[in-house]
Amino acid sequence: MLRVGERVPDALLDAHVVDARGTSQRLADWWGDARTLTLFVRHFGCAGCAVHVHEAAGRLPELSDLGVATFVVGCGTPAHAARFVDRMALEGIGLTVLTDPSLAAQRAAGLTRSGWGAWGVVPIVRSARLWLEGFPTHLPAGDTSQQGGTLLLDRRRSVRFFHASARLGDNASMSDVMEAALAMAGEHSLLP
Amino acid sequence: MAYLLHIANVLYLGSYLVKDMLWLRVLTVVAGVLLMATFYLRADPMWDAIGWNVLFGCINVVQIVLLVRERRPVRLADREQRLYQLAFRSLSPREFRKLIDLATWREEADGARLVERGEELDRVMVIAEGHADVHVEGRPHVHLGPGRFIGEMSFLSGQAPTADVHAEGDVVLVVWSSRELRAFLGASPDLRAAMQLVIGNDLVTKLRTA
Repeated sequence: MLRVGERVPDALLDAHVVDARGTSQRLADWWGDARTLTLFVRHFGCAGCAVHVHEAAGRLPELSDLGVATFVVGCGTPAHAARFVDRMALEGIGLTVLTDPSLAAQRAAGLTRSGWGAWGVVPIVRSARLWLEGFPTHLPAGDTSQQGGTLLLDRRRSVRFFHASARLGDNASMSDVMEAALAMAGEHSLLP
Repeated sequence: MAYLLHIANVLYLGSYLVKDMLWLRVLTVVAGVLLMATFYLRADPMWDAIGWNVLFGCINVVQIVLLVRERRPVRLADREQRLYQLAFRSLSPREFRKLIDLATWREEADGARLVERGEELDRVMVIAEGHADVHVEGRPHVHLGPGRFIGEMSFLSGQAPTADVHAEGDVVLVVWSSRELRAFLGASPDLRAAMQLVIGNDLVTKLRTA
């Protein structure tokens, strides 16, 4: 499990992830030297993850102004990732969608694996509610037992915010993420 | 009597077609009144159905009053309007009204120490009029003008400020208690997000000029 203030493990930095076009490289290379927000999604058909990405997409300009680059990491195939980009209208908005079908990145981040978190009563009720809000569940596009998470890192690759989801729809509050991003952006400014 | 029933149902149909919540509720209330008249004018009045419709009508009337209140124009005093234009334009006037009602206005004389380095800061401020300087190791670091925040980093990080801030000439400040502001924003997720946008814009501007 990642902890705020600690550096992320090398296993996460070295995990190879692929983009929707099939380009594969280390997660650290995708991140570059920017501050990064990474949203780990369960699978690309998950309604709870779609709403989380939708909320984050709405705050991309704010994140970008603070020098934070935003990534989505799923666990389906690159074709699944491409369909997700298309369905969520993410092309060209400054958000990079990646995938790691081997789940190495998710394991290194200490994210939860739970079948109950996908097929239990709470996730099913939540899926129904999200469907009514306009976020339908699509066919599984990845490992349905893999749960998601939210990871904010500074340039030294230290954790500034981390949330590991226990089940579908257990998403971090984007306002909590933004608060951590604001504090991170201004920390060396000597502003009071 | 049958025509009342038909008019009521046409109004219900109309309420299903409109998208505006206020119109939907108004049409439903009128339709409900006609329906109650239909039930009452029968040879054997249907009191159970009338009772349920009274309940539905009361709920709708309360919601109509709330909606009308929400849609009334927001009045801002001159100095509030100036501050809104300076720093809070990304909030709706109603959001700004709620926020400003929580704050106090304070005047400080030239040279007054507004923030002391290392001392826990329990407030967030915005300069409404005048200027202030952020001093690091006794030297001016950043010059702050009207509309700029003071103490927002301590508010976000919970840590003591790392610089002093002095009034440069007489200043008028709008001051929020950090604790009250945090509790207020915690209970209003939309306003919290809007406020983060305001603070973020302020921070980015200051970082670019620092």
